[in-house]
Amino acid sequence: MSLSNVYTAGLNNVGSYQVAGKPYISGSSGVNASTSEKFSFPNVTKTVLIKNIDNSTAVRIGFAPRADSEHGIVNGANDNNNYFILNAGKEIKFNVKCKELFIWTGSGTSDVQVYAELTDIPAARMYSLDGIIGVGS
Amino acid sequence: MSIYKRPGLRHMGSYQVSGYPFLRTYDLAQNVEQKVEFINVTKQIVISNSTTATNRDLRVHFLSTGSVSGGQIITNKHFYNVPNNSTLTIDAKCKEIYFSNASGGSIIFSVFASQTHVMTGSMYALTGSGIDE
Repeated sequence: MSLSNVYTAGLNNVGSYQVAGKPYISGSSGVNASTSEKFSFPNVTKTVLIKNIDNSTAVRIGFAPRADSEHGIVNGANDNNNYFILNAGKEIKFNVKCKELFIWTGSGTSDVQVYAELTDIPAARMYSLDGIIGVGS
Repeated sequence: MSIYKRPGLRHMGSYQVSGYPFLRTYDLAQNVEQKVEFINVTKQIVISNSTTATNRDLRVHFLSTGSVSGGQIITNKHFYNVPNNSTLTIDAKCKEIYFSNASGGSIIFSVFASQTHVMTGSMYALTGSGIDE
């Protein structure tokens, strides 16, 4: 029997999103307005929780980086305001499948924490969000 | 020959898997309405009113106040307020949502939608009780 074919769950495998996910925790200090902070997930997410732990500066959350061509992504989020503003001290949870997340500020610096609930679906199964309306175009 | 059939509006699995994102931030002037159209039918919508000034309630509704029955939205309070510096999470299937600003100044707000792959053409028009009646 060959062991060369290892099957993994597909992107739309319902059960992968129904079971509790495995944890991913990261964070960044000094998030700024000139360069997006990139968070790459090892597997496709089922939920993402972001906390702005700064006490004065809001952050911007996107599924594309701030500017065009940043981090190898053609279409940035700033052109069409495709970002979500999270005020200082606030926390937000998104039910979303993705393999990467970008955070920056409008001005000033801030600190964030990111928790993601991961499925067992490999990140390579997730399609590119580059250029999708509502993400970056 | 392969035929790809799109999932229908009540395709359960489409709402059980996590959706793909839609994000946008708006600056809404006083006494103005903003319509937000999604690419696919939603399963969840998160709204953040990031305005820090007080008395800046953002109104959320599912039909335009300028529609034929739109007056009922205000009269019968078919809207939900998101106060300044707060968020609202709604689990709902829809293809569009409306925001209006009857407060004392402009409002900056952000919208996130978790979208299914169900086409918006499958979604019926929202009307009646709880919408515009």
